[in-house]
Amino acid sequence: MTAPLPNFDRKPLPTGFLDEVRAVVGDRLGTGEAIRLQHGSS
Amino acid sequence: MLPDAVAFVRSTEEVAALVRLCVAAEVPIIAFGAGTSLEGNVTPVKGGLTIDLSEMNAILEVNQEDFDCTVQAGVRREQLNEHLRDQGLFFPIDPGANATIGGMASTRASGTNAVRYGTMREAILSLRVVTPDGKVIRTARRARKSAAGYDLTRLMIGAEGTLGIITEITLRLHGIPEAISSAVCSFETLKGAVDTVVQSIQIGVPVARIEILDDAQVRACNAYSKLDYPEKTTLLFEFHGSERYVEEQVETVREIAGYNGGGEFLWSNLPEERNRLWKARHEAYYAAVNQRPGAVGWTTDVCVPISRLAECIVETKEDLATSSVPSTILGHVGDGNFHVIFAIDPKRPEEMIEVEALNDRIVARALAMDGTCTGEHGIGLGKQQFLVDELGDAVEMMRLIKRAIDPKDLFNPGKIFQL
Repeated sequence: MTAPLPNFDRKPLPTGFLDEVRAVVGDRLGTGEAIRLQHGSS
Repeated sequence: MLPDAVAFVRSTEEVAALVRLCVAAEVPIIAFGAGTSLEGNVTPVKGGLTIDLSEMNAILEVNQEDFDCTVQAGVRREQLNEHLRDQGLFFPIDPGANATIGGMASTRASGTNAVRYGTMREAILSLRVVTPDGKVIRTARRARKSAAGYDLTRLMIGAEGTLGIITEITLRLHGIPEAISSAVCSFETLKGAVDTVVQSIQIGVPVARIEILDDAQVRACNAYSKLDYPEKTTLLFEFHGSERYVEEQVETVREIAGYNGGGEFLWSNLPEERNRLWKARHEAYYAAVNQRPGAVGWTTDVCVPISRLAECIVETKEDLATSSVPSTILGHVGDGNFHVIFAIDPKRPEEMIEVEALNDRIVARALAMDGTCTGEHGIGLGKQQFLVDELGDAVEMMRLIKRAIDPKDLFNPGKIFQL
């Protein structure tokens, strides 16, 4: 049957992680709500 | 459930660098193509970094004489076919949506051409994959067959990004047929339509597409796509081959359809007629949902052995008749795969409960016929219990594989099964 999903743990990103990602992809890193919403489901 | 951030990558090397960062920091990592999947396959349930591959959209090589090509994961199927057309080649997998090739590989997609050309499982020769340890592997060479060790290509196809990130795909291609004809035929009974399909396949007619639409779906398509087909169970066909061979196929299937109660067999070799027909087919989902203003669509995806298809659809249709939620049926009938599209009023949560109960019964019916809960959409978030119902202890072996390859459960966590 269609079972309810569990509650998934969500941890904050480690300090400095996004700076490390930005060092790889530069300004091709999005953190704004619109871009996150666009990638939030399918 | 949103990602914390989205990185738009342009190379396998960038993906590998991000994977190493995520694994070191224990951040979930989700590959994203066009976002056209249907089972929550790319929903970042634990947040983390979504890697959007849509800018990795280069067609790297086409080997015309070998009938293959290699593309980056963000190439879309329509883009690929436009590129191939001048070389007399085409890529046949057509799920309807203009999905990325990487996404289609990850969900083991198929679509209207699968009866003749197979699914992504058959279409892929090799993959380049960034593994959870940050390495880049190639799962096979371009050879048409190989007995070289474990079949890692097939392991990655349909893994929904839980075992690594696919960055390049080598695909089998096909020559554009000399002649293509399409046909439409309506039937008095659903059984007559399905029997036509089974008998056509049994005698070896290599039909390229056979799609079924129930009367409700035809009604919706007529209204949405400005058509005037009889509002009965209808089969849509496409035939590929030489001029003469296509004519033979059309004639054979026309006879079989007539024997099974089919009405007028309307066929055409005009591209504009064919395009009109398949455009309507591709719009069928929107047509079904559009019948009810303000509705949202929800679709099922079972697949059964073709000998059980008529029985499965008839029983499903009887079950749907008891529901207050409008629905239509359409399917890739040559594969035994069909979809029910529900048009749900989002302001009535009780309708979602009703539809889930109907879907539970549809899946139970398909499994009882030795079918599957998903022919082409994947498991994602929505079908995890069905996967257990379908494969039992085999799911434990999947968990063992997942734990061995991604021990920190960082690659698209929470999908296919819970660890």
